[in-house]
Amino acid sequence: MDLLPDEEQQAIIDQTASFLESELPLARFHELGGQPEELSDEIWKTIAKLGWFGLGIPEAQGGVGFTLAEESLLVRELGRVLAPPTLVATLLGARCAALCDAVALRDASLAGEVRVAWAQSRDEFSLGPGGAVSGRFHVFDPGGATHLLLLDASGARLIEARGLGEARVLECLDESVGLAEVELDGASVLAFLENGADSIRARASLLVSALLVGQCEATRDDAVAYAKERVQFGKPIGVFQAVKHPCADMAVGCEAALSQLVMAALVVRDGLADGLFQATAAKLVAARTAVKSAERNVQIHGGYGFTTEYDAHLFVKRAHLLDVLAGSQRELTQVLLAEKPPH
Amino acid sequence: MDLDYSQEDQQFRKRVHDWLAENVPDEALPNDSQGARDYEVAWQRTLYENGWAGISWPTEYGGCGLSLVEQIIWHEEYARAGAPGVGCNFVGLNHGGPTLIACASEEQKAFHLPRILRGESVWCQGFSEPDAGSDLANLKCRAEVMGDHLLVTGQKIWTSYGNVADYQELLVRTDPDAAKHGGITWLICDMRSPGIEIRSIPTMVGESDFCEVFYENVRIPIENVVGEINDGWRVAMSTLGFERGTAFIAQQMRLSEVVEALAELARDTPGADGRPAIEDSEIAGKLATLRAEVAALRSMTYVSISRAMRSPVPGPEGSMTKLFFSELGQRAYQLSLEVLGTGKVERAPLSGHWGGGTDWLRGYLGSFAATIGGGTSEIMRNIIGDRVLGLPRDRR
Ligand SMILES: Cc1cc2nc3c(=O)[nH]c(=O)nc-3n(C[C@H](O)[C@H](O)[C@H](O)COP(=O)(O)OP(=O)(O)OC[C@H]3O[C@@H](n4cnc5c(N)ncnc54)[C@H](O)[C@@H]3O)c2cc1C
Repeated sequence: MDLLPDEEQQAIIDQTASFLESELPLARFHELGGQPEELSDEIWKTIAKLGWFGLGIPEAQGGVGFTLAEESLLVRELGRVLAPPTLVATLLGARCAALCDAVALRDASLAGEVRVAWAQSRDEFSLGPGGAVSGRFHVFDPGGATHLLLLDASGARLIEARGLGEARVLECLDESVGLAEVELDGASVLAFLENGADSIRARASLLVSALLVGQCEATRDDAVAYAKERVQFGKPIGVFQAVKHPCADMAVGCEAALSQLVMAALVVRDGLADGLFQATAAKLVAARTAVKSAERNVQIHGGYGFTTEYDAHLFVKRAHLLDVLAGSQRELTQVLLAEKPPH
Repeated sequence: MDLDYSQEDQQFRKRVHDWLAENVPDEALPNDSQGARDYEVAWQRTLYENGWAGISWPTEYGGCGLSLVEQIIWHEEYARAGAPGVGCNFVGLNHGGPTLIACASEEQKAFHLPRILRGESVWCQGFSEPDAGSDLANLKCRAEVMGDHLLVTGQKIWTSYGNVADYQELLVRTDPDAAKHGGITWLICDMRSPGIEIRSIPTMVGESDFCEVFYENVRIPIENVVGEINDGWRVAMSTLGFERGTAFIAQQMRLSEVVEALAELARDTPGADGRPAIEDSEIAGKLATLRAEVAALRSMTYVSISRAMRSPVPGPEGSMTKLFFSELGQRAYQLSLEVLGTGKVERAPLSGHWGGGTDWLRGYLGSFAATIGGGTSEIMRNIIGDRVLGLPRDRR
């Protein structure tokens, strides 16, 4: 029983963090100027070479051969810098392709030639003959996307994004993420990974939780740094308990969300019976903490928090975006009440 | 990172499970203080006779010397078996005894430690005073050194189990001129000494184990000083790291049972529109959140034990678990009142000593014990802000 990273896992964390610090630092948002972020082909290919997309895929299926535990730690680092959610959709898509023996799609994903966008059903989607999908979807990061990832209780589906016809471009709550509404009318499914032994649903929840956990930590650090540096009434504002205590709550939230992420990653990885419950709990705790911490962080930044000159607004917007991916709080409630917690 | 237990650990789990299944008493904890004490010390005696007393104590002092993993297993099985809570043995086993192990003389240890383990002496904690709560170092209870003894005059308050205890860990001021944290001495006080008066304080739950203690020229032999005279603050702080969070597992598992019972209650209780309360989306959302948070609390406990396995020096992170646990318990009971709706005004008849179960109204009223006792939630937030996050401190 050990819930802390071992040396190899710590190395993955450190390498990821140092890559992100130079290639995707939070400061990049100032250059985006409120436009959706689209990663360059060059950086996408580099990421593929680093093995992120195949990290948790078994070697026999072309992957790196690590597990969900290492993936969660990697994705948590992505969360800290608010990396585009499409990276996680692509990671999940690569797994779908690999486990469905869609070898060409798998290899293209691992080589960095595929970009998968999250597709969030606006209402129940319907399945036609041969499993073809019809329905209305929100697609996040549609720019450059080659495929869509559709998740529901039955599993994960990959659909070709090109040739879907006109998508209606929308403005996303989080300006740094592209959003389009897409109407699918009998779109054929390239790979369908049923939510069975692999519990792709729990994995997806978990990796979005990992993004949220990283973001919670970044928010806490942002608030604490500001509370130490901003002086009013002749003191750093962190002296005031009305500022210090919310920071403490953020720290507790991070501890709870991170602990639950790690526990859930191990339970799902090991195929234990309470995998879906644990992963859903991880998502709910992380999403609630992320939203609350982000809101408090704006308040702690005062007037600056209300501007786009500081990062505080980014965390609020991204927290709400991630909240709807892989199960919104309302859907998670249903799962948490239906699944029996372990005892 | 793994959740695995070794073969030996699994065998240990079976041994614990089987023993508890055979030995956990069927009778409920009596309602009155003396009856509860008798019940709890008898159970402690049973544990002792079967080699299960002081599971985290080192073997050289008669404890079980269990590894952290074995302690986890013990507490998990203990909670699953519904074994009695530690009750009035809490201070002796989890605070007083460990302080003696860390700081007392060999004579003091030889006399007291076996008595605690055998359930022969019950200890209480005399730290807080009317003007020294969160600001404990402000304590004023005076002790004058008079050759071979000290004379104690003053008052303590909020002494849990003071009415049934044999000994007390007593913090007194021996040097009123020294700096605040200096001049304090840690004494072993025999609760039957002449000059001690104990009064029960009724609590909002209605129990009576909560006491104030008055001392008038109470003679305490000089041999009862633990550590040095005027070095009591260090002695008092020495146990902070003794319990590395394993004992928490049983409490956290009990909270999980409370939340499951609450889900049951929400299924059985009609809401305002006549449908079961659980179909109310607000109640469903809160219940789901509680379930998720109880899971997170458990995970936090395992993470902090994982940390303890790597580093012998405990960090301030324990205050995060304390804060999260106590407020989570409070939210659970608050929700039970929402579920009960207008029915919340009706108290259930008292059945047995309340130990934090599904007597919802008492549970709700009692939930403040955890957010105030053992350091208030506000003090926990101060500690987290100052020591975990390194925020600037207010100069007081
Ligand atoms: C169930 C229970 C059992 C207990 N058992 C024992 C026992 O066996 N032995 C014993 O010695 N004591 C015991 N205590 C006492 C307990 O340790 C104190 O109640 C606690 O430390 C708070 O002190 P106080 O009651 O004087 O409140 P105060 O310190 O007066 O606090 C009043 C309010 O002010 C807030 N406050 C105080 N200082 C600060 C600050 N610096 N920043 C922000 N807010 C602040 C507090 O959080 C609280 O909300 C027990 C208490 C309870 C509730």
